[in-house]
Amino acid sequence: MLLEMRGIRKRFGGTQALDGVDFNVDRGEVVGLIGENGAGKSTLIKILAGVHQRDAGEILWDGQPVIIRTPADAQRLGVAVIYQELNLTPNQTVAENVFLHHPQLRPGVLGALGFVDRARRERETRALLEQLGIHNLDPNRKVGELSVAYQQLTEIAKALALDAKLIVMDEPTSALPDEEVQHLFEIVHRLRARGLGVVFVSHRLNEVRAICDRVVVLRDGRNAGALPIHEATDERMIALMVGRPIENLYPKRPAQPGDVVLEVQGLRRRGVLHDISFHVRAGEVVGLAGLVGSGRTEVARAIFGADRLDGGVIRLHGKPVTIRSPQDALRLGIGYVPEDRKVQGLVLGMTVKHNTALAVLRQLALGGHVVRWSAVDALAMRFAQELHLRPPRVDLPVNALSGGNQQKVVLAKWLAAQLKVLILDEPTRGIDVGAKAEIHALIDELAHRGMAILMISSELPEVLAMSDRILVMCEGRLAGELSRAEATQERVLALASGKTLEPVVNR
Amino acid sequence: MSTPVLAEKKSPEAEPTPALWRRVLQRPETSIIILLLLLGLVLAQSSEAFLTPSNLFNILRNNADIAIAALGVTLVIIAGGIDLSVGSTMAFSGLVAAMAVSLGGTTAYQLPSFGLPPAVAFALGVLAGALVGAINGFLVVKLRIVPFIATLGMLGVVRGIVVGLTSGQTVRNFPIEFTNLGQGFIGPVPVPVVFMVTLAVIVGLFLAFHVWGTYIYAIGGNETSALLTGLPVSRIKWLTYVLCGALAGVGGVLVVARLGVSAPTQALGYELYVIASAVIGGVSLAGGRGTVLGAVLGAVLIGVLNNALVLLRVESYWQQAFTGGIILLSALIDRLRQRRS
Repeated sequence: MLLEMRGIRKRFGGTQALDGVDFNVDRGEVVGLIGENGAGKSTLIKILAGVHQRDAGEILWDGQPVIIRTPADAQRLGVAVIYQELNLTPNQTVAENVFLHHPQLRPGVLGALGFVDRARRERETRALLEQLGIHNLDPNRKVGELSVAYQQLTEIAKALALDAKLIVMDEPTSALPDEEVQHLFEIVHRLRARGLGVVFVSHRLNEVRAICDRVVVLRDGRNAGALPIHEATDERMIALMVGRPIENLYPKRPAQPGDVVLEVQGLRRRGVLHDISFHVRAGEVVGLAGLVGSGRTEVARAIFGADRLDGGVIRLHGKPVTIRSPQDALRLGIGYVPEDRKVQGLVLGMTVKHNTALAVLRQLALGGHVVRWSAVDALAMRFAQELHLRPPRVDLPVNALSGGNQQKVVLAKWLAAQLKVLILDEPTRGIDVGAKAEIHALIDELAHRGMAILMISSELPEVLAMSDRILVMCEGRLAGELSRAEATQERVLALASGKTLEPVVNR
Repeated sequence: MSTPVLAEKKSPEAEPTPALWRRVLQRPETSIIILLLLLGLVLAQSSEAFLTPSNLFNILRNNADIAIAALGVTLVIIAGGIDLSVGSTMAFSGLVAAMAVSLGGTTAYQLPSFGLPPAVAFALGVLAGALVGAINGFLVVKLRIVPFIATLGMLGVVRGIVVGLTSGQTVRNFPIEFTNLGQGFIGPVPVPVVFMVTLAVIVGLFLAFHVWGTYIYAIGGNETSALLTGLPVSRIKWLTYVLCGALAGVGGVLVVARLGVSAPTQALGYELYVIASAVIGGVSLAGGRGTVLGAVLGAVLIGVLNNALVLLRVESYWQQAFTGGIILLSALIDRLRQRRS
């Protein structure tokens, strides 16, 4: 065994984050590490990376007990961790980043003084990239100018430069466009063929199935089980993660579409959106699919007044409206749940009740000025109960809640505003399976109550299962529309990648 | 409402609300009060003069202007901005009020003096401060200059205007009704202290109960989210700068009334004390956090400390170094407090 972790325990304040976890990786093996948020995946990885110290348990490396006190210790052993937030210096070149930790020095006195042999560094970087099968990345490009996918490759090359024997990838695909995911998988295969161990942490079960040899599931800081990949069905993985079978991840009732509520015609924004036209009816969930960067979020932001438009008409109930700011949109009854709730959707330091009431504070105030906090409390309590907020406390700061419950607060804010149109941007990204089902049920319920819903999602199963119709975008244009009946993963992907006929390989 | 799809998941153990005393103990205001009590204890031991009502009221009187300006800066900082121009604004407002109210004629300077009623002069001074604030707000909100740079520039510009207008001379000769604003008493309480308490209560109520107060916290906590929630972000940010300028204006006029003179170097470097008051009081420079009570207590602490230095016969030249040290100390305490929670 390359790595054996035995009986690892770790406590943070009052929470036992890890309670005797075992975890092994062998050479040439790709191990999937899955579990809900708070199951202990990150803690386990951080102990391996030397960021946290274990309270108890032992770590064997090549059969020898080792102590990893600092990230430098982990590096010396040959552990490289590629975090979701990449660890690169954006203003330096690929080569500089790859050899940041052990610069390629010049021979002789200059080298002794710390001068770098740039030509050699460039050569070696190129060689490392070649080993990964990457031929089109210039080592002299600044990292900040690269796409996330290439930044990730730079990190992997950096790991190889450090002679890593085990590479841990924490949610490596979450920021990647779909076509890049396949590329990453090829690189993982190469790493495995070279005899490296790879730990693949992901929420996306289909990817885990596609790339891993074995899956280890954590729950509440313990080993919930391990599955060889041929036994790892979605149902079994979810059951292990959640601790009980989920009956229905996508509770969707057939829609009873009413009148057209939102209609956009010829929406244009130079270089971003080209002639976008569609409509959403009351009681309907319209999915907006497409690759990352295809303009989905831009459509949402344009309708919501967050970005300027160069042309196009937006109609509400048939009447043309002018939306210059989110304030205008809100006044007209259009709400937007942004893709990154922590950065855009919530004021994390404020309490649940503050966040819930923020959009309607004026209506809750005497004369529009003096806030009636009792009314705010009552409103927040009502939504906390309706949405099954856990814990059901409205005076907690929202950063104390789990991702799923934070998303409920964002939704509560817009429910309180009594909207006609709700635009959801990646409504369940990074949310636990259990809470995901609840959010889906909530979306279904809102549609049933007559709201017109536009849902952007990168998760194809979610789009397919939750939408009544699916709009597919490609490079700033609407590539096509599919009804619920005719939509399949292949068809959506084909439209999204600009193809019209030939089916795309199912990942 | 939604048909429950899942068996109820065991809820994450609802952490009980910590006991009241624990929450009070964790407030930044509490640490200041404790620090004040300790300091008072030491001072009472070493100097008989300290624990007399007149000395205590004097400390408050001498720092009321800083506390009042700190109220304004608190609003700006909570909304995620900063105003470095408060010292200059105070001097400018003071000068405007001084010229308006001055009876003139004492020295040979050519500055106009209008002999207006004190109430009018006071209002003009506050208005002048609000004008500086409005320009700050314009620079930040409309021209999108980073607040630090915009107000640093205004610090220089406004101070330069004050020096330029006066050619370095002072304005004096005020009617007693005006100097009473700084030197007089209402009952046993110095007039500036009455101003301080009244304004603190008003600003405190504004933050706690006015819709805009909550908006200010929300904008400072997460501006993007506030924008996407449809809040009038630009208007509110502008408002904080205008209020900050106006409150600095009140402080500036009170300084002139207290000293009986408007000098071009007045309130020079006060931005240090004003911002320090807010920060010591737990107003987070990252935005979104802080209270009026904290800012006022911060100003009082700085006042007591300066008084202590005088009573302990530390040369006044050293005072600024001590104030700077207190800022660092409070920042450290804030950090420790945050790490614990």
